[in-house]
Amino acid sequence: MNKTLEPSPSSTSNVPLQTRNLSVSYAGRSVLRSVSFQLSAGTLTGIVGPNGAGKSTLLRAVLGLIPTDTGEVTLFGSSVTKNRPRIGYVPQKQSVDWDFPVTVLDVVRMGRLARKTGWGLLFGRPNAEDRQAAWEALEQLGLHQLADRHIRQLSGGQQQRVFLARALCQQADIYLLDEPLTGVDAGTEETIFSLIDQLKKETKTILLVSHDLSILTRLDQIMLLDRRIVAMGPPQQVATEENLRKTYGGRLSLLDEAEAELMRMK
Amino acid sequence: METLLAEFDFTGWWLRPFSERWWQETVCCMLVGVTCGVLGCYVVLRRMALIGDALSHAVLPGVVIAFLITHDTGVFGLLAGALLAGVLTAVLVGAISRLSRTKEDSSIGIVFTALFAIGIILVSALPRGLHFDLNCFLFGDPLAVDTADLLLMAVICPLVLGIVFLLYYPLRASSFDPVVAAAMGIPVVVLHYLLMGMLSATVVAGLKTTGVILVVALIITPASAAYLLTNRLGTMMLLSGLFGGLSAVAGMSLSFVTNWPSGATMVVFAATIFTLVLLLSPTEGLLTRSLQRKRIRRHIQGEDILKTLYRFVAKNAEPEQHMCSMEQIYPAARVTRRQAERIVAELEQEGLLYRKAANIGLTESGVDRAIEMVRSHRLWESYLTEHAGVSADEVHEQAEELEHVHDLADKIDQHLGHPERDPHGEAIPPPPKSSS
Repeated sequence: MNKTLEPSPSSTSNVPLQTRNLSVSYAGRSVLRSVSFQLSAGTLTGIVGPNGAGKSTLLRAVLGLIPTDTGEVTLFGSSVTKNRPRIGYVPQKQSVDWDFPVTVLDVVRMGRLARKTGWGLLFGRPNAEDRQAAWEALEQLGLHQLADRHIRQLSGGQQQRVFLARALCQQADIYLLDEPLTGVDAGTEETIFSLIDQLKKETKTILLVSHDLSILTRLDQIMLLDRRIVAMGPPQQVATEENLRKTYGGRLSLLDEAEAELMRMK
Repeated sequence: METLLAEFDFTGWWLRPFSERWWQETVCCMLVGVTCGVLGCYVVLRRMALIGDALSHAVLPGVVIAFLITHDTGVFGLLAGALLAGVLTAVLVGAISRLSRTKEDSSIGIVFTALFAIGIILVSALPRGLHFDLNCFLFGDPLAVDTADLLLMAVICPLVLGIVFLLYYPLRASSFDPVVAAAMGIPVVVLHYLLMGMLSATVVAGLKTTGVILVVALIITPASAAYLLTNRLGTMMLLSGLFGGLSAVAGMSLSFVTNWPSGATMVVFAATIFTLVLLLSPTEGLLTRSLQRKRIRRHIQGEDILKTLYRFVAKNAEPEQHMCSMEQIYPAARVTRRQAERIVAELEQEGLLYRKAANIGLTESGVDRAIEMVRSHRLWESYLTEHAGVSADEVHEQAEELEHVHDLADKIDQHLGHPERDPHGEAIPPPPKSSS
């Protein structure tokens, strides 16, 4: 399956993404508890769970953007900091100021910065290859006619596609997508899924966050998350009524009660 | 100033501004204005306006301590002190808002006022014989600019501009989307403190020109004006630098002639540029937009009058041959008599109607335009009832507005499969020959 990859010295270097015992807390409250999972190349995994389940937090922890209490993340057998160019991230679209003075093309080209390392990351200028890749990403997402538009003039679906194009032209091996389907039109949803199919064929690994279950059938693997992994596996096996109730139940677990008690005692 | 006035030479007074000293002061201010303008773009876009103000105040204790140690206002000592104080401010603000629930703007307010207060106490506690000119620090005095200051600015400004140019891409990326920039490995925190450092350095360089209280205006105002004019960051930085430099030079020149405080004059110039842009920006200016709305309203009223005229004369076989009076038209077109007079005069100039005595008639092109309107109105009615679920008795009011978008009429016609009648059973006329 991984014919394109170099033969690897260690066994884990074939695993695109692996976490072990990842725990994150915020202001004394646990957000993620001992999350361990492993993704294989060429698959689409969906993280599904209620609001506040720590879905976005998990992506940020994987990217090393927030401090973790315990655990480790490995990308192709080594640390994230050594593999930045190989991991692309698409945050939720309300995370930026859409009045910022940049055009569609400007934003997409920003994705190429991720491929630069060391001093190039700071002082590098876009070259012909960067320009080419940005155009290809624009075309693939049907944005090439909007290249010179200001990002404020786009619809919600188009804005989402700009973010995807930015990640796409990074030519990463792993993509983390945070709620890419929220607030987009049906056409954009189709574009996104056909892009994902394309990426899977290129043995890329995709981890997608979603708060609703309607995308279940499109997933190779589902992770039911409610601050811990409730269940993970092929959707037809894992998305059982019982598991879903556990995930979305909203009932305080004993651990939560103990934690609240500890907070009071302090 | 007194010495300058003493040297006042009445025969050559208009040449006076071009004296060597004036050049020195003005070049100084211009360098500061350009640098503040360019750096200000990041301050504005990253919503750090308040921290810009804070930095300028917080450098006081640094400056005073440097003064205490070096016993003079040697520029490099001051610069070092101010840089330390500036970075300390940034670090403290960050720490307080990270470690507690204090909101960031509150922590900025706490830190800079505290540092500024410490600075004031330090000034009052200076040992005998040392005089620190707090007034110059607060309000600036370009006339106190000497060669050493000019040298300082000649070093700092190109340095800052050079760094901003070299780091353009990572700075832009981390200002637009800090989280993704961090995920890419861009050192966003380092860049943040670098910006803070450059801002402090620029503020110190600008101290003698405008003083700490007004220097923030040179940072925020030109950048905000540029922000309203363009959609590209590079262009915004160019414009902002231009506005900053222009305000400085114009302010210096005017203050020389009028003898106003030069720092304040510069700031007023910058604010004037901002006001002009706010009103007249071609895309977003308040005045531009209101004129645009007015033009559209007039266009709509004109078309309404044409349509009304057409309705009166259409029953006749040759509409061009028939006329009606002003009294018949204006109530039906829902405009006042005075508006109607003005619009009719305009339409006459455009050759859409003609007047004979007190009567008004449609020309051939006037008839065509009116048919276009009727056609557009009826097509919109059909579209609204069929595709937007609007009921037949409500559809008229909406179509009355939409009909003015008659460029779309042919598209609707095609979309609906060339209907012959509208929902009320009225015939939809074919497009006028001349327009297609």
